[in-house]
Amino acid sequence: MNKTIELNNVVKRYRRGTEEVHAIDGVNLSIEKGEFLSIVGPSGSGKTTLLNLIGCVDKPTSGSIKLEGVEVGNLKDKKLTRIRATDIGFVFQQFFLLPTLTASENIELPSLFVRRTNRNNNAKELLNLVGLANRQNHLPSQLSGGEMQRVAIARALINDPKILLADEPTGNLDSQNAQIIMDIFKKLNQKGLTIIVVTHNIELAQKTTRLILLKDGKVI
Amino acid sequence: MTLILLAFKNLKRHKVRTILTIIGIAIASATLFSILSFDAGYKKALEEELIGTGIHLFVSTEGCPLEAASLIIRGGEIPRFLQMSALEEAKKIEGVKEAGGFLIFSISSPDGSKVDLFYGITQDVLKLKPNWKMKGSWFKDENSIILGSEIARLEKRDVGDKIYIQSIDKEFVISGILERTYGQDDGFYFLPIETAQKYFKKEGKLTAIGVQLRDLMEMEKIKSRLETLPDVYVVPAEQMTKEILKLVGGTKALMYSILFIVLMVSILGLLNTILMATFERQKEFGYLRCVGAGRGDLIKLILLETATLCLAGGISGFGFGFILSSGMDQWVRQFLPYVPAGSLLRPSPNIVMVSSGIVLILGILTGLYPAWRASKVSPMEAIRNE
Repeated sequence: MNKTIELNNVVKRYRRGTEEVHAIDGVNLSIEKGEFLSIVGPSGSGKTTLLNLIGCVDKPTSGSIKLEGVEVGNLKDKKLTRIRATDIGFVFQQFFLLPTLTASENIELPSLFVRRTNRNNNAKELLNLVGLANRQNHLPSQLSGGEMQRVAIARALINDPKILLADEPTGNLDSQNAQIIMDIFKKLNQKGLTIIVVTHNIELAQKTTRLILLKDGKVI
Repeated sequence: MTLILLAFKNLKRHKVRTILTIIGIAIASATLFSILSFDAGYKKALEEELIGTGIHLFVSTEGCPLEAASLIIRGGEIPRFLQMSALEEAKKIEGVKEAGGFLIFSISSPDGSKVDLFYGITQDVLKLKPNWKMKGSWFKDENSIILGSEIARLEKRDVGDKIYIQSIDKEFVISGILERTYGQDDGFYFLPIETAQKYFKKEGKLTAIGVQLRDLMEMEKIKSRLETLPDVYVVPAEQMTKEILKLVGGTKALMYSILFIVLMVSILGLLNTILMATFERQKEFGYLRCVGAGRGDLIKLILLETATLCLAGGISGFGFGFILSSGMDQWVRQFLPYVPAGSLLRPSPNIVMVSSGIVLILGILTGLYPAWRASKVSPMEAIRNE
């Protein structure tokens, strides 16, 4: 087995006022290298929380999370930061492009935080990959929503991540642009990248190779 | 892409806010630069005037050094006088190179609106004031007068013109006009010593004597010799410098208080700008944390933004201070109890370095709190409310 992500009885609880919320309730999940997986479920089902736990953005209350065989649930902030920088690429619904940086500069941004000289990707190649070769000097304000999300995908790839995590990546896009984004994900997955997409959109989720349904913090 | 470029581009997001903050820092930097230039320049100008001109010892009637300073330098009037013979005695002392006598008088107009300052001088004074540059010549006879540049300007007189001085009811012929010294000499009427003694009814009297030595190592010995003359008080030029520096101490304290206030206002402006920029980018910092920025990276980013503002404000402030220094020189003169000749504001590379250091250190210290706040942002911040 070539497991890249392994979750064993993962629980995430947090307090909201006096109420204790069980965001993730005993999830067991194995994801193999090169999988293209979607997590779907209603609002509040714990999709984003699960993605955060896998992306080392949040820590589980209990249980075990292994990335590439390394237990990350109890790692210190510095080590988690390093894993996020080198092993994981993030794509968010809200793009998070810096308004004063060009498309090319936005793509290079995460590379500022990684001391690596033998990087395989560069901004120009990545722009080419997402079909925006002619937009490298454009500011985000000069790009459409779909183009901004494509820049955000290129940016997530700059540090050669092993896993790409996308949280509602098509949530702000029309169906045509949503399709373009999914096509890019497919292309990346075909090259061997592990991709996990959180989405409300069942139609898009069905285009992935594996679908996980989450309800009340549990995998159904 | 570098962190410096990122910091620079971040500041471009709110151009007006950034420019206003830079202007604030520039004003503080210009003030700092000017005051430090003044601090160094004033002392140097004073030393040049008092020591550089060649007067090593000031001799007056018995009193405090402050009175002596007032007498010889500012032309203050004290109704006690030396005998003319003291000048001759002083010249005879071995080791004395030059000695010049002064008789200083002031006469107020009947309504008190104007004060005429008269300086009776012996020709030896010329050797004690080598920085004097004169249009025309030395006194030709007892009816000659030399005017300070400001007097000549106000009276609209030139060399060879006649001038009637109402306060002593006497007409003189102008033999010379001093070039501007930017000191008190600009406001004096200079008369031959005998003429001054005659018109002020102080025949054979002097207010003070300036003494130049052949060898400074003999100062103590000659000072002791001079003190054997009746009713004299001898003040070394160095002590005089200290006394005058004490005189301007109040003005300097006021200047440093203003500097403190300007710096505080500027620091608060900078803190406000950086803190606002930090608070409004919480989500963005959260995102940067998600993609691998460590707490240290965010601290560096905020400090670089602060340093960029300080650098831009500092450079423009120093340039502004440098350009304004001649105007400031004129302005600051009116607030000083004693103004030496020569430039009072003397910018130097050393002052630029010290000012830059102060601006940068204060800036970085100001940026520490916002930087710390930024470093505390969790990566979860990016995901929140999505």
